[in-house]
Amino acid sequence: MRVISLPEFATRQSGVIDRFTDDRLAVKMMSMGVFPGRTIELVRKTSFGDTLYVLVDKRALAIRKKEASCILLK
Amino acid sequence: MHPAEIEEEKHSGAKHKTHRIALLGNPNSGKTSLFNQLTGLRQKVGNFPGVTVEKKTGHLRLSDGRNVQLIDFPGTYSLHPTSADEKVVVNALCDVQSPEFPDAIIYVADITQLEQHLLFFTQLLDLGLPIVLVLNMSDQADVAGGKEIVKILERRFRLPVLALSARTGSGFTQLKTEIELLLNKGQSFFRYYRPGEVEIAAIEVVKKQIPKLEDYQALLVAHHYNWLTSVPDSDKEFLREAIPAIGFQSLNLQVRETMQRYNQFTPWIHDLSVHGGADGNKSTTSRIDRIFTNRVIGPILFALLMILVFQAIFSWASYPMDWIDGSMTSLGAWFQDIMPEAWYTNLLTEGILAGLGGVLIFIPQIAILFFLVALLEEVGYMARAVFLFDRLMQRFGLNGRSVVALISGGACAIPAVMSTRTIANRKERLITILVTPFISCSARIPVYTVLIGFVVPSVTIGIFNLQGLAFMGLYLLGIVTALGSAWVFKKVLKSDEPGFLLMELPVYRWPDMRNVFLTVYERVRSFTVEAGKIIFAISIVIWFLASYGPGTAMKEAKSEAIQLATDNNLDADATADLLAAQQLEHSYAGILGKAIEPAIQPLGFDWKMGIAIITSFAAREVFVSTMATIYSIGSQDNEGRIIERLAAEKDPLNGTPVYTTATSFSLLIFYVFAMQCMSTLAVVRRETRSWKWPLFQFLFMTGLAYISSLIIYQSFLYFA
Repeated sequence: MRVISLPEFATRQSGVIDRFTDDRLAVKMMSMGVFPGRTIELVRKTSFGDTLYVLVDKRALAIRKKEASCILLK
Repeated sequence: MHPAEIEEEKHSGAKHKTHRIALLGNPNSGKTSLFNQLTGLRQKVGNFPGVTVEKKTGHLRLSDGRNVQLIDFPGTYSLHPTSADEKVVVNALCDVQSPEFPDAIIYVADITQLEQHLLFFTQLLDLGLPIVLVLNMSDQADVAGGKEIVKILERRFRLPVLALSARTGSGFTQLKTEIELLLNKGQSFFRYYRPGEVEIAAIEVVKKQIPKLEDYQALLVAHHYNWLTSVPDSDKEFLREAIPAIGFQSLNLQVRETMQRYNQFTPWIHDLSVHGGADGNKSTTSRIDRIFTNRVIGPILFALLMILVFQAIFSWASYPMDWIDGSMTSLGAWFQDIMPEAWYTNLLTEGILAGLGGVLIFIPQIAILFFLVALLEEVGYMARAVFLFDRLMQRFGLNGRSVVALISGGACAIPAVMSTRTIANRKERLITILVTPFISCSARIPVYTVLIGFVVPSVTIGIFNLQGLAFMGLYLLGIVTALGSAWVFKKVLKSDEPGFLLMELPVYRWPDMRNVFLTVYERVRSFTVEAGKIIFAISIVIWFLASYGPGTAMKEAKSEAIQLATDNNLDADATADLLAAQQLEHSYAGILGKAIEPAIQPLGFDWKMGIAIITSFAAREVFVSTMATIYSIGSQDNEGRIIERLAAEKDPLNGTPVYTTATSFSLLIFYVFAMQCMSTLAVVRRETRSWKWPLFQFLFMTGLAYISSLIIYQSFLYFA
């Protein structure tokens, strides 16, 4: 299966988190319940598309595009 | 701490030691509600040592007479921290000597969010402290289902678990009993996490260097020694060599540890059907967010909410403010009537009462703003504002929550600066505090009105009135300067926090009004007590400077004025006005005004404006009344009269008008930029916990004002 990063998602698309490309961000994300194996859905973007509204296991999170690009999904 | 509390502690100290209990949990776990339920008004807000992280403590007396100090720690996701708030928690828990190190822990988890909220809990388990797991249930959660979960968690973790509602207070008697039992308990030997080989080696290294640590504490030290306050520099030096030497890769191991913890509890926690009503909440939240975080409608709704906030503090607050102002004035008049004419009567009516009024006058705005902001926070809306404006505000080093401060600053910088307390990132908060006073507040309006009325002709161009345009120009200038300097500060100021955004958007819920009212109460209290005393002291100093002069100067000024009045056959009012003008000129403030004249002359200001600038420090609008006094129109000060008087003012030497267009514009620009408000400085001191930032702000803003006015005035002279 092709591995893509979160910002490449279309709105309303969801996928399962495979791994992170940055350990520092991985620690932060995992502490907030975003970890490999969880399903993540891109719900919407802000006007300029720089901040993303995502659902991880039904929890709503706001994340910047730059940081989201370290999330790889399968 | 209140003196009464210290007293109480001394008394009980003889019989019992005060036990310390830490209240810990994830953000949005209902921890604050639980803290407020337990302590009510018996709480106090301070700061953790060395940082501006808010520390709330409260006292609790147990039924057996023991005294408990409850510390409400900031909401935390993990002991591998990424924010200053979370670092405070790790610092406190890794240092047995720390004044925050607890005897026991109350851990609060939202029963509908167990999959998330248990991670931090399992880390705390490994510290070995007595701990009780409190499952906070929202009103909709199924209580019967809750009992089942309590049993399962008790069996899994082998420790007390209880379910309660932090909001309604049900289950609190059981919690108090549990706290008593908890304090009798010793160390727990149950450990959740099994460290790997490298971690065990690191623990050994740390423990050899710093004895008396629990294994997990030692592991945390191995990860975070670089910024832990309890680790002395010599030990840091040693660990910097020794830890990497054993192949300890901190970030990698943090990821592994976190993953192992999740792997241990997610499989069985997932089977517990705790969702029930909460799923309903979550889908309601999704529906509301479809509108409130919509890329078009979202910002419009936010703008409407901000207009409401502005309206509330700008115009609704004016009713109680007028009332306070009026009461203080009539109280002063009453004292003047019943007391003999003496210096102490003046001190009471013009010094103390005016100073007191100067503090009280801000309370309506503070109370109203915090009521609205706390309500928006409680409901869960503010996180959405951060989401919507993240990118825009990020460019200026600000945060979505900064918008509230900047807009409130249009009414008054004092509540605005206080509202920054919810901005979690230190740097973004500091920048917001520093630039908010550039936004033209309501106290500048009278100054703008007089000066614009003087220099800008009231002509209409198309549908626009020129004076109105000038007014708008000054407001825009303030906004642009605020954002511009924010951008500069963003580039210049250092930050120890990574600048990323990963934020939970909590489920929308009905506000817990107890939390809202306690926030309002605390903000009003901290303003009146902490900033109020500074404002009070300075206003008495300013009153003294304006009312007294050296030696016999004031007396001479008085007799001179009376002489002049009789010579010119002035009526009683005019005599009083002349007297006030003469006295102000010969007072210390007058002397100061004359002393700074050489410095402000290049800006086009004379000593009379110098006096007004000095007295403006009490509040900017004082400029107008000072001008009125100086020009002997005190008893009938209205803006039209002042404008007429300004136009008539001539230079005594060459007879040219003093208030030229150049001077007036220079003065206007000065009032847009200069930091002239001691109340704001006092509040900035309170919020940043140091004199460094208010001093910097004063120099920066006033320096900018000086340079801009200089450029304006000199270019007017050059081109004219």
